[in-house]
Amino acid sequence: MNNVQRRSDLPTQALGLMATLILSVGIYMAFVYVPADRVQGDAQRIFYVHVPMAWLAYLAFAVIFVGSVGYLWKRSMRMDRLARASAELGFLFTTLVLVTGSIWGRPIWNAWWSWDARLTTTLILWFIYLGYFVLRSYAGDRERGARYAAVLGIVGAIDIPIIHLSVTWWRTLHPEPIVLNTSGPNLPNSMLATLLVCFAGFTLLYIYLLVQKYRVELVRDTLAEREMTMMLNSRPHAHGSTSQVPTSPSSRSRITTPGDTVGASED
Amino acid sequence: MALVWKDLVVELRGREFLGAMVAFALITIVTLNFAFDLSGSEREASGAGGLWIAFLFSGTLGLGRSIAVERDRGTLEGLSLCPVPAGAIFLGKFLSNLAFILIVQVVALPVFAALYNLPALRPLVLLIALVGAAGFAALGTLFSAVSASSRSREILMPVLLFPLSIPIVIGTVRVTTLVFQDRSGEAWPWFNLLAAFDVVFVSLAYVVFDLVLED
Amino acid sequence: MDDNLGYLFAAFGITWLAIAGYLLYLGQQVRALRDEVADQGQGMRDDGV
Repeated sequence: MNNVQRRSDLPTQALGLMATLILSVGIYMAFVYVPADRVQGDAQRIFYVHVPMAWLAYLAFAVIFVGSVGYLWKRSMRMDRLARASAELGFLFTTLVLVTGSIWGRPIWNAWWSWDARLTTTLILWFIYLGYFVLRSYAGDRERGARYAAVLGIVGAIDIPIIHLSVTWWRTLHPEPIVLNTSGPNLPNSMLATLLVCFAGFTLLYIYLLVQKYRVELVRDTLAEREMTMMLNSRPHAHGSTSQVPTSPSSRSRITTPGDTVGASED
Repeated sequence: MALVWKDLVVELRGREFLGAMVAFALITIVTLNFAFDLSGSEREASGAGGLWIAFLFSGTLGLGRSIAVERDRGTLEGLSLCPVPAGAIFLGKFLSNLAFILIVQVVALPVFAALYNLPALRPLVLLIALVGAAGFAALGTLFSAVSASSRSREILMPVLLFPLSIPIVIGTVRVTTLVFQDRSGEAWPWFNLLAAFDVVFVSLAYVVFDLVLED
Repeated sequence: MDDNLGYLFAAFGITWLAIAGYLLYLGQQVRALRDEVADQGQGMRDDGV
């Protein structure tokens, strides 16, 4: 139980601290260090949170893909947990990308939305995340939820590049103001530096949140497992022969020694 | 292989529902006339879009229905009990779902062509109708099986299917519009994209269907 | 371009608020789980596990 009682162990705390530090530097750079955009003025600074979070939105789905494949392949609860944890984060960041993109767009395009290719693909990504949650919550039992979510994770991840491609082609037919005027090597150094710092900070933040969320899910899973076993054991004669329900070795050790750290033995 | 055929035959017996699908598609196509301005300069694009909305929505009805019926009959569980490869089950369902969509298209396209004086019977339009339907049927079969065991299956399936089918929507409408505008030459990149989409997702769904049928 | 500062602050504000909110939410989950673990531990002791 120690793992739940401690806020987090030293490496994770260090990670959190690093993330906060780097993000603080990033914010300073975004507000003070970097000059305002010639064309867009100060509103352009939103770019320094919008873009890194877009990266996170897609990174999170890539992690879902890894977890889904891992679950399909090895039926490892660890992998499903990873996917689950990343899904919540991914949805959060995708939502923020859309919101910040919209806020940025308002003064620039005079409209709350533009069917810019990247923004549009992100909107579709948002719906895929939503579908992922609806699927999980309506799936019935956990194991089925994990399996079906893995299917969606894999199909979704493979589809996203295709969606992006088709949306980009489609957009060339309807040219509209784009979100970024500057991208890639044409960015002046100060902007590039600020962007990179923010990228680093946000990525560390994502990893930190992922670790924390993963742990929460781990405890949840363990609780649910014990709950099940307790319920089955409390019935007088379960299947005639044994009153102990056979469990996998790792979970048995967790049940018989409640004092052990929950996080220590991961299966 | 026999199972694929058997499933196909069983599904095709759901013919009474096919009638409803066709009727729905036709009604949608007629409604287009009131919803869009199909006399102006954008009529090719609006017409193509409306046509595909009719196909997608009636296709969605068909997909949802086929799984619901199967579930009620309890045959879905029965199928997974006998040692038949899940891939074969997928093929049976996929082909029957595809057949239903194609039948709707076969009826709807001439009607559309007549009502709106748009060349909906040109080979490329028919071809892309097939290719689009195949991709949609593949993903649709997969996700209707996934939604079948959930409480809100009718709503869950489209929620999952539509975002993932966006390339199909964009591609088919684009090709159809280009053909209507006599610009068929420009349509090939889109066609290739959709063909690739089909290859990828029919095979993926085939492989992954195993996971869905496990219980 | 100063009138655009409002949008800038709105965007940054929402972002950090959302992230902070999520951290709080995680913290809440941890606390709730801690209680549940304790309850379950008690339940197990009661059952003589």
